[in-house]
Amino acid sequence: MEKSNFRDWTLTEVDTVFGLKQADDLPTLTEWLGVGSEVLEYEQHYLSTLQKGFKKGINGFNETELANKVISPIFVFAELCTNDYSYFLERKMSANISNQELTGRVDGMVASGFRDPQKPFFCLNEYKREKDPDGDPAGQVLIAMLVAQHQNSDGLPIYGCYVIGRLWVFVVLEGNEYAFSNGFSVDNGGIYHIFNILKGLKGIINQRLGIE
Amino acid sequence: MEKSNFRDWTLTKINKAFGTEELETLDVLDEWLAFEHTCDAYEERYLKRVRSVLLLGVDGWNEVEVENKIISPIIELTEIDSRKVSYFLERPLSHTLGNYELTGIIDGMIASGFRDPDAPYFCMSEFKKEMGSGTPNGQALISMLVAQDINADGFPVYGCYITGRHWYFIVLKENKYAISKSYSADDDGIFDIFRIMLGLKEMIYKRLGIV
Repeated sequence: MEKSNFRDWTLTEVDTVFGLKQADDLPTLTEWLGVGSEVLEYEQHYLSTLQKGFKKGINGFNETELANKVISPIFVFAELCTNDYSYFLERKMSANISNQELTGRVDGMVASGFRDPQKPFFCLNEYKREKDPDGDPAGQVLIAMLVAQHQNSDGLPIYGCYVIGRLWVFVVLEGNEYAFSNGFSVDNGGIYHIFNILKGLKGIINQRLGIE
Repeated sequence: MEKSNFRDWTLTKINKAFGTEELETLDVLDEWLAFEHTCDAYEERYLKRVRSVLLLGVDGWNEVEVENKIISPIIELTEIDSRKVSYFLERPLSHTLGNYELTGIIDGMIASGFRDPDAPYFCMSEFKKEMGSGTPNGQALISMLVAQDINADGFPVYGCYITGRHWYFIVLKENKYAISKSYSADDDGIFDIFRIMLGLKEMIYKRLGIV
């Protein structure tokens, strides 16, 4: 059994060791990204105010500031914290898959449970300029999603996202295939797309948990 | 010269080492806490949402979650970030004070500058499982003492320490400091916390001549 941390993985290594394949697109990803709903006036006000606040300093942010001032407010505002599931940060995950003992801390996770995560639906990886300047943000989120898929063992897709500064890329892992979205920039109209995609995630989780 | 980290300080140790004195209150703290603001419908809705998130799981969360899901959303609502002043997180601060070489990471800081902090006006400390030998109030006060010495402008330095759902506000003026009662973010105290943080914004903006 070989021990490794999520931080150690690149996309190529994940593909090679676990037999995953990157698809150009997956219907589940297209469907998720397409779940459009109108951004309400109240939401628009919040998102544009938030954007105005972080836009000036984002180039100087460390990862804690990026999480606190940009990423988490959008997750909280998308109402991903409920009695049945919540947005968790820096929680440990581990699994043994294909002779690999994988452990790591996930920057962000949407999972069932409200005090502690139970079943992970979504994993987020934030690129850490200060702590891990050479890391592969896409590889790290994919390995966490693979662990989530292994834990759940329910055949359902796992959702994810990696964030590099102002850029967000969404990911879906289904079976042994995964696909990435285009990049969405949080410093322009992309912030409304990002918010809508997270609301779409909420809809998907609600449906999965039978919440109306 | 003795080296130490902000995490290792308690109020008693600070009083002994730097001759500071805790008072029951200070005029400048009373004025700050008395800042008046009535939330509009938008603010009220937003704060109620933050509070409902807190009520769900705060007791099980780690400090990163409390910071990301509760503390920062409240501070961000004050819209304090501007070209002249910003809310910074986990920034290192080091300074020699008396016979001590003090270093540490400040959990939250409101300081001049927008990309990197310059003059610190407000230092916040959050309770952490790995606290060192110090206390959250000691950690806040020692960073405020450093801020006061860095600024050297005769103005008081503001601060706050947070343990879970409870917020305590502090003012340091020269060698005197006072700590407020606790304000709880799990009831209507969340509106007071927001009002007090808005009061801080107004004082800082006034000092910097921001209209």
